[in-house]
Amino acid sequence: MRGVRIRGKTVVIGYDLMKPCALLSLLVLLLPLPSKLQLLAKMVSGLINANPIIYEKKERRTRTAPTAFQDEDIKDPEHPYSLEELKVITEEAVEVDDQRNYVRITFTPTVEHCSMATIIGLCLRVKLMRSLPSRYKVDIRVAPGSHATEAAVNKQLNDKERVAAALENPNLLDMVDECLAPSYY
Amino acid sequence: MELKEIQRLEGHTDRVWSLDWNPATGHAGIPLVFASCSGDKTVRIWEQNLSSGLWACKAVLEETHTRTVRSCAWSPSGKLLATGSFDATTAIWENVGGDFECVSTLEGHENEVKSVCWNASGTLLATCSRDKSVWIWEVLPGNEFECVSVLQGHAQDVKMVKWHPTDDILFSCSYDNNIKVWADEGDSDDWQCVQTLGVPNNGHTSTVWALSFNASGDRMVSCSDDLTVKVWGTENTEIQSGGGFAPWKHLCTLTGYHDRTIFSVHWSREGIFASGAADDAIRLFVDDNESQVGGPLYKLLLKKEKAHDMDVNFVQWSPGVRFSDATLMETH
Repeated sequence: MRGVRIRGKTVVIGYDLMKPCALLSLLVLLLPLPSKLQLLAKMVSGLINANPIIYEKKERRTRTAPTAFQDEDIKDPEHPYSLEELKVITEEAVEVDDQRNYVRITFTPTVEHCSMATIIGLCLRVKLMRSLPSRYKVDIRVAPGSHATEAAVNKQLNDKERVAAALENPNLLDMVDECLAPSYY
Repeated sequence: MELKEIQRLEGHTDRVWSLDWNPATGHAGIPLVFASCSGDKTVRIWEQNLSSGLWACKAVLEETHTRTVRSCAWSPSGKLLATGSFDATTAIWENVGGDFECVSTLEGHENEVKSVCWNASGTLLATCSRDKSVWIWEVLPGNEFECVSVLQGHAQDVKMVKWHPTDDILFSCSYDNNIKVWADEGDSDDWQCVQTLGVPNNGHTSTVWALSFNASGDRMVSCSDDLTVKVWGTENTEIQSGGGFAPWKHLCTLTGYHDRTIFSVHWSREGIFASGAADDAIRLFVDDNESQVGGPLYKLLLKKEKAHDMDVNFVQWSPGVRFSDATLMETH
């Protein structure tokens, strides 16, 4: 059992939790997706960040950019909250240069060692891939100082070959799709 | 000088990652042929019509690879085509009377195969993978392939393998920012890393995506996610084959020309090298005869903005013909 492979790397959430409870993890793979995610989250000896601060969703101002930039519906992989409610992503962290067809997203993992950072980044990338015209160039990064392995996470998230390979992994794609599902309750 | 689009070839239903010109075509009345491979899990064979000059798809190689086909390479004789896939396998295809048959499947890599390359004589095939290893396969009679060496040394996935154009020296470049040079020093399949070109030798500071050699094999160009192109040189290769390995030295770095990751470089026989980058542009560089001492030895000859609608994933000059088609890209 090798855990969840994310962009070519076995991510700690998969690895740590699969090792001590191989049997349970087998069970997890058989469960339907929403339960799978919930169980996955619970299995990390408590959550990685069991008591996240929940922020109110911001009232959205009308912006000229296409609505595709709104990421409010991306669910955190380990909480039933959206990334916006957890302040992982804020409206200000999405920079759009329409003239240059350029988008940069800076997200803030809830804890410094958040092993979900690559998954969150991948979800953001997939969301933009699916909703933006293909002419847009997208850079995704974790906020400076917000993550212990910042450079490594950023490098993975912006290597298109690794992203392409990761999205051919059905388990990982399921997880991303689950995070991007419009309703998660 | 101008770079003009001759034709847009449609057929692949996902991004095109790579292509390779068949070296046995394009002369003696044989129409030019090349292969392209894609995220749609297929390989397409394209042939130029001798009278109209237009290109048409002659064959689609499918139902063999189960994931993205990342790389393809013709053997020097043009008879075999090797394809490396994210499905961890390398397939060998043979052209049997116009039909392409998969005659061999090479297994061994743990995960995505990213690049395949034949040596100059067609006796060895190199493959590399996200599993950080480079494999060298010997071509045996009857389409048998035997792994003669597994080269460990890169700390991260290996993006590309490339043989020297005349000598059996193998080059690999990686997500670990290094280029490694591998040679068989004892003539006994004892392949060793003989040089690492990294930051201490003025190397790249991010993923090295590709490299290419000039026609005489004494210069090499590499491109990277660090937005630079670097040119490397070595002493002439005759001395090299006589008495041991002549190390490669950094000659110059071309900075400030590219705005996003450079995925591909290729050197033409006439000494012009092309680059393809994530800024959708193709650039051509040429020897700068008037360069100052210590300055860059190459200058930008041409920049074709919006050469493609999306990233330019791969560029390759066609064999033989002057200033013929480079390119490939993402298409849908």
